[in-house]
This record gives sequence, structure tokens and C-alpha cells, in this order.
Amino acid sequence: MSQRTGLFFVLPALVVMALLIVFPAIDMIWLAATDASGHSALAANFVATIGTRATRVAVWNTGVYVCASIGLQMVVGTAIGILLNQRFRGRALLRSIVLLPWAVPGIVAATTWAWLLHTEFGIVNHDRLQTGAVTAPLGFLVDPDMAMPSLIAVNVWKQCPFVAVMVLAALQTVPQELYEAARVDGASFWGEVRHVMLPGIRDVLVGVALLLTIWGLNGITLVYAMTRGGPANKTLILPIQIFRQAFEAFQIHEAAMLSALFFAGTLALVWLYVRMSGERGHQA
Amino acid sequence: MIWANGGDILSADMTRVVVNEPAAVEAVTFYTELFTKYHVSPPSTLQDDGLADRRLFIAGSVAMYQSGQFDIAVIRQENPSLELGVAALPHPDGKDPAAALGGWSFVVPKDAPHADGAKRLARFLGEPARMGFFTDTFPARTSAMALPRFADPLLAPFREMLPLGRRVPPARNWLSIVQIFFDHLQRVLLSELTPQAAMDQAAREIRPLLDRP
Repeated sequence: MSQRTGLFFVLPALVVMALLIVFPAIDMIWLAATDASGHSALAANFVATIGTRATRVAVWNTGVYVCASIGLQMVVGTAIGILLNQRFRGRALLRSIVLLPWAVPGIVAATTWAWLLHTEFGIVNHDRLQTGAVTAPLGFLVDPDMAMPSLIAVNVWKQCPFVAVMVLAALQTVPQELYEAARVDGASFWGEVRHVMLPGIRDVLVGVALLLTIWGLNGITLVYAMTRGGPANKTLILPIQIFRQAFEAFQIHEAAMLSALFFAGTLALVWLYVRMSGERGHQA
Repeated sequence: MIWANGGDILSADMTRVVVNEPAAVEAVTFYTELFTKYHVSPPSTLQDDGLADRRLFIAGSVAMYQSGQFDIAVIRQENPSLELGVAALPHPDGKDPAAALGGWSFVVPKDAPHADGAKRLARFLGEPARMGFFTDTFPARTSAMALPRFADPLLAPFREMLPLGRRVPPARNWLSIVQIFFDHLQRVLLSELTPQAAMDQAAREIRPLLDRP
């Protein structure tokens, strides 16, 4: 088959990709570089976007939200994956149950948690008050010091099962001989985790971390449904700021500029990952 | 409340930010102290929207809240035993209450192929009886208020507020301006800033938006 015939076969896919990805991306860059009358306004849009206090707050909050979420998701998810890999009664059932938070649609989970944690109506505060453990309800989503940690906790709860399942699947590929060799050398369970399991699933962990980063950066559902970025922008993340600018304030050009910068940041992370995996591939 | 106190976010000609002037700051102080100082607003104030406010009221958790006549039927349905009363918005002595006024309009494009027919339909729908029948709030024509469905005594305070209703200014970037105002109002509620400091900062952030296209 000639190269031209091959190109012919992939052409429909390329056209669809161009329409769905390349065209909107170019349009976004065009909008970011112009004003409403179509004149060049790249610098003005950049200054207006970066100069907005809410944008700067959103950059910081996004960093905190994504880093803390991913760190905890990786640690807790990996721990659950390793535990689910052990032999014990009811393992199959527990493996299914652990998956549940991930299977629940994002908006359903977010709305449910928003109600559970509500200061007045929430069952969490209700129970704490009923038991007499506290006399005043905790503002999980309204206290400036608790709103972001609460969102991170829900995000960890939601995404942990994904990490656990990926880790569990990766652990199946670690050769049994390595465990046996480690045991012969007198390795404890912790030693096996450190020297056999984690090195054996490193590539999967890096890939999962990248996926979680991209999902975390783009994950508007949980935060928007639970706090809408409040109180006082304490949980305002970049996707919400872009949404507000574009569809609430109709500042399309500034929203496009922020989207373009955000897109560039995400792309840099992906590039870093591809480079890192490439280097590891060469080393291997 | 800012309007009722004689203040505003922008000046009447929309060229100046006046949200940090005394009349506005006084109103912001009064409003936020209900939460920060007197604790008469519920602890969930910062997360409650209109729906949550209504639920709190129906559950008997708050004694009063600000809303429209559209909530009356729901409250009566969900808690029939609740003794319900309505009053106009509070206002400082010697000043009038104020409320934001909204509405809907019939619009016929200039180049519409059947503009005359559309105008006839708009005139037909705008007659008092039909306007009074179709609206789910209040009719724009006072003559339509005489219809039996507006005779409920609970509607009287809402009706009295109508002439005091004010439109929001048709300022450029108005939605962004309001967002900045609310963000800073919340900072006062969180006791991060004093009302004056918060409104000064809000004014600084709003000012560039007046010149931006």
C-alpha cells in the first residue's frame, strides 16, 4: 500500500480532528489577540487578563487545588491499590466497592457533598451537633480556611479509586520472582513495597499523575457545584474564572486570552511528561 | 440597601465609581454587621442562594428573608402551618426603600419579514387581561393589577415596591462590576477587610472596567 493510500484512510479522522480541535484552538488564539472590532489587541488583552485580581487569585488557588489533590490522590490511591492486591476474604467485593466514588457522575457527587457539608442542613454538621461534640456548626464550605481543604478532600475521595485500580492493574504485571527474591533477601512488606512494587509500577504512576493533573486543571464540576469559587474567591480556580469571564461577563477576548495561557501551561506539562517518558524509554 | 441609603455603585452618568463613598459604605456596614456583629444572619449565609434561603425559612431556621412573590405559593405548599407575612424592604428613616427592577419585553426586529403581524401580536398580548394572565410576576400595566389573581393581601407590599424599583445601570462590563462588588462584600463578611477598605479596593478594581470596551 502506498503512503498516499494510507493518508487517504486517515484523512476523515484528520478532518474531524481539525474541525473539533485545531479550528477552536485557532479561533481561541484569534479571539485572544483581537478586540470586539477585530483589531489587534494582544497586549491589551494580556494586561487586562493578568491585571485582574481574581485571575491572580485563581492561578494560586488552582496550583494549591491541583497539587494537594494529586499528591493525596497518588498516596492514598496507591496505598489502596497495594492493599487490594493482597490476598484476603471479600477481596473481590471490596475491589468493587472501592470503585464506587469514581463511578458516580461528577455533578451528582458534588451536589451530594455540597448538601452533606452544608452548614445548616448538612448531615455531617447535624450529627456532630446531635452528639454534643460541638455547639456550633462547622462551615466546611464557607469558612475561608476550610473551603479549599474540603474541596480537596472530596476530589481525593472521587479520584482515588481510579489511582487504586490503575495501581492494582499495574501490580499484576510485576513478576512474582521479584517478590520471592526480595523475601529470600529478608525484605519486609514495606521493603517489598519500596523496592519491588513502586519501581515496578513507576511508569504507570507517572502516566496516572499526568492524567490527574490534566483532569485536576480542567475539573470545574466539583468546585463550581460545591462553592462556585466562593467564599470571596477562596476556591476560585482558573476554569471557573474563564467561565465567568466568557459566559457571565461576556468578556470573550479576555476569557480567550486566559484560556490560551491556561492551555499553554497544560501543554507544557504534557510536553514535560512526553520528554520524561521518552528519556526513560531510551534509558531502558 | 445601598440605593435605599442614597448611594450607588456607579454615579448616575456611569463615569465614576461611588461604591466607596459614605452612603454606600454605610449600607454595606449595616448589611454585613447583621452577620459579623449581630449574628442574626445564619452561619451558612455565605453559601446560601435564594433557594437555600427559602428552605431555611420553610424549616423555621430564619425568621425572615428577602425574596419575591414567586416564593409565596411554594412556602404555603411546603409548610402550610407557617404564619406568613410580607413587608417592604427595610430602609433608613426618612428615605425610601429601593429594589432592583427587572422585566421582559417583546422585541420585533426592524427587518422581520412579518413585522406588522408581530406588532399586532405584541399589542394583543400586551392588553391588560392577557398580560395579567400570562405573567408569573407582576404585569407591566397597572390597569392589569385589578385582576382577581393580584388581590391576595400578601401581594400588596410587593405591589407597593414596584414604583420604587430601579433598573440596573446599562454600564459596560456591568456583570464584572457586580462580581467585583460581591467578592469584596464577601471579604467583609469573612472579616478580612473593613467595609471601607473593601469598598475602596472594589472601587480600584472597578474603575478600569469603566473605560474598557
